[in-house]
Amino acid sequence: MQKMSYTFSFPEEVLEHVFSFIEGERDRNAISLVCKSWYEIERWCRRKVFVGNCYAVSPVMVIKRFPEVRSIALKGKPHFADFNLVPEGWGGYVCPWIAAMACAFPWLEEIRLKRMVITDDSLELIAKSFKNFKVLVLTSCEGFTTDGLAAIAANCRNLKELDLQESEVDDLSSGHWLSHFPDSYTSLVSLNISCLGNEVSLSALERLLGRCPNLQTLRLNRAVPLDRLPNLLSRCPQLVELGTGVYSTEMRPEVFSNLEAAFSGCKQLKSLSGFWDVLPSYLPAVYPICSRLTSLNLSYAIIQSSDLIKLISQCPNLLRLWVLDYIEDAGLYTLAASCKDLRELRVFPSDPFGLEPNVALTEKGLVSVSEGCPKLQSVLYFCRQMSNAALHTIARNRPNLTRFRLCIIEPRTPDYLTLDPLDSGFGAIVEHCKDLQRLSLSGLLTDRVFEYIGTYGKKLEMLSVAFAGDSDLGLHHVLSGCDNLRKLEIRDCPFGDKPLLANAAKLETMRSLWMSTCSVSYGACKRLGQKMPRLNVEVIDERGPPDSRPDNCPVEKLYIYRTIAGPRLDMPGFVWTMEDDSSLRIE
Amino acid sequence: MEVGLKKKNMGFEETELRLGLPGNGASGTEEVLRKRGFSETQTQDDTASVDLMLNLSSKEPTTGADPTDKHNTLPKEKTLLPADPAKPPAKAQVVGWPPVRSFRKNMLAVQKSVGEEGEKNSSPNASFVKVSMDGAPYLRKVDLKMYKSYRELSDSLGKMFSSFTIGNCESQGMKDFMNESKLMDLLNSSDYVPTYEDKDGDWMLVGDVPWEMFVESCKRLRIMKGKEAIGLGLAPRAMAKSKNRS
Repeated sequence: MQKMSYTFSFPEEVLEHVFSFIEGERDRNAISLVCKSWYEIERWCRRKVFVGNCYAVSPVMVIKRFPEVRSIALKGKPHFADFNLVPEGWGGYVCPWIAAMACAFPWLEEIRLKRMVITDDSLELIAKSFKNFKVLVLTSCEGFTTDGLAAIAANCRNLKELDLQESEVDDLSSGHWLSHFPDSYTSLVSLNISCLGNEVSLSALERLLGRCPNLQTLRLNRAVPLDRLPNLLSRCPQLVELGTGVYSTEMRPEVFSNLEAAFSGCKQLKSLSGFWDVLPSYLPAVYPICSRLTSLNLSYAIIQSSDLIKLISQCPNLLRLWVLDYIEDAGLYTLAASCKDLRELRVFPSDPFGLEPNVALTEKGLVSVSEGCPKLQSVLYFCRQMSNAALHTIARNRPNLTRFRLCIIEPRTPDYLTLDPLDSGFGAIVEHCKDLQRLSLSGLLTDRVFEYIGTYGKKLEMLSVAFAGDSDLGLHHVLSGCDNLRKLEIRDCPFGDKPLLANAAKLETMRSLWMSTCSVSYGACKRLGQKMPRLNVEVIDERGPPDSRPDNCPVEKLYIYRTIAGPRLDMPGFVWTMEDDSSLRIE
Repeated sequence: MEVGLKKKNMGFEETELRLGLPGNGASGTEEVLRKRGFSETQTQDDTASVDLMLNLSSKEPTTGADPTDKHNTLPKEKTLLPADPAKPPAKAQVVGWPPVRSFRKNMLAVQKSVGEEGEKNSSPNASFVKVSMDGAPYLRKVDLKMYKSYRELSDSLGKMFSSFTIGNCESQGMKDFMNESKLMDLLNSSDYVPTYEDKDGDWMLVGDVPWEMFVESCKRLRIMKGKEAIGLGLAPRAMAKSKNRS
């Protein structure tokens, strides 16, 4: 009898074709682990690469494994850099990546960067090296000027997307960079310049909009005057997403009616943002399109609750709302009543450093939204008081929450009703919300809350902790219990050496761990670095070399991440990687 | 932990506005903040005469970049520190807390505040006024809303008309009007004096009333020679006003 062999003898082309339908990088990674031939086939046809930590792997390694990449995404600095916890000059330089890819990926189409430093030179290299370059997204990046943008505009004939979301751009050219888009350029689909400080040339912008029929997203900066907006919109009535510039000017009836007509003329408009310096009398200009809106970002808009209520009550199809706490509880009650499809709510503080509450926003607003909006999945909420009871209610109302970030503005604030820690409330959140992926804690919290998180937070991928916990046990609960933890960031907590050393292996299953103003000693960092060669244990300390202090002295900041690229070579003087050879550091 | 003292990162504007939080006892920091606030009070000569017409409810957000906002919230702060030095530092500034991105903080800081001030600033009153200067061949127009103080206006006018003035220019003139003894010297000299026509049609000397009030009531500006100002009967009124003030 012949043995039937079950080797699948599809030609490679067939497998490649099948793989081409699979885009998500996790699935692609899974495919590549099936067998050697699948690994080989897959790597040659992978078009999109996502590198969550630019120091986890080197450009050469990526290029070697995936020679045909068309799209790359890179993230640099740790998340806490957003809050000034990472000193200037820490790293996150994209230059070596661009240089390497310029040679290796001539057909690269997309570059997406987050929290990285990119220079004009790199932008120029991008503009000149990639003939089919289409998408440049720079989120929270810095290091470049409008000269770099001019190079992109002038050279990238197939550019579809230019998105400078919340980046720090040195605005040199008074808007002339925009004029570098040649008259023959017509392929723009998405433009986000909302972070630019200076005016852009409005006439150049008008001409650009007029000749790009596929434009869908336009996010203007504050310097664009309101009375010019109708004219701009008339050039691109097909817009789906709009960010206005400044939203006030002298109150003139013809400006208002022009504006209203311009908004109404954009029949596909679904998303609005911008709204700096709002003059409330101009808000009604958007009323005619409110019923179509799915996304509203009013997080820079200083609008009273009553005006917000009038606006929101007309937006029954809203999926996402970002707003300042001027909305107050009253506005959130309206939201809960009007916007039954809401998926995401973010409420930002208008006065984060004020001594006293300046608005009537409490936990009640959030509870009401959790009751009224059955599809609510993602919450970011700044407030000044919270109770365990409210958290329990929210948890029971919304077990479908996947992201829950609560920031009670005053550190270590207890339950305002009982004065208890908020352990039980957050415990309810992790217990009921079984698919919770991201959680940020605040308020008065003991080790207990971490016990709950370790026990129930099985799907948790990212956890942010501040001013919480009593002892090492807190950190140990999290590291030993959260099976899917990828990113952990901790500040000002009494966590020390033991849980780190005891859970060292766990750290290799995570992307990164950040700890600042905790109790981890230099000695423990050294031991961890020695024990775990595939971790970079970076000590960030602006007091000077940790060697100059005793081993049991706690380090200021600690950033641990897994890597196959070894210690990085671009560290500044205040960062030390725990390795044997400190001469690897380049000043 | 000295982490709280680190201010080297971006957003110095934001550290001016922070009033701090009670926290982990990094006690040195809020003094730095407060000191800056106090010294601003003392050296604010330009805005010293600005009318405190801002409605000081606790609803007023304190993130406005307008110096008068800071000025007005300081009385609240003052009671915290000097009143009870035995109390632990009320609000220590903590770096990176609450976790609001600098980008967002800066954006909020440069906007006007809600409430009366916000509405007033966006009010429809005409802010463009004609400016004539005796001897100059043509008039100019300025938008008074573009300026926050007499100093800013006078600097701008000085630049506008610098080619026409002989000798002293506007900024000196405007500075000196506040000083009574110099006022008479000024009016007697051939130096230029800024005057304006108010809502009632009266010609007034620039600088007597608080800036906001001036912006609301000024219909046109005329920069005339000091001697002519006396001739127009301006001086007695100006003299009377300045006498009333002292």
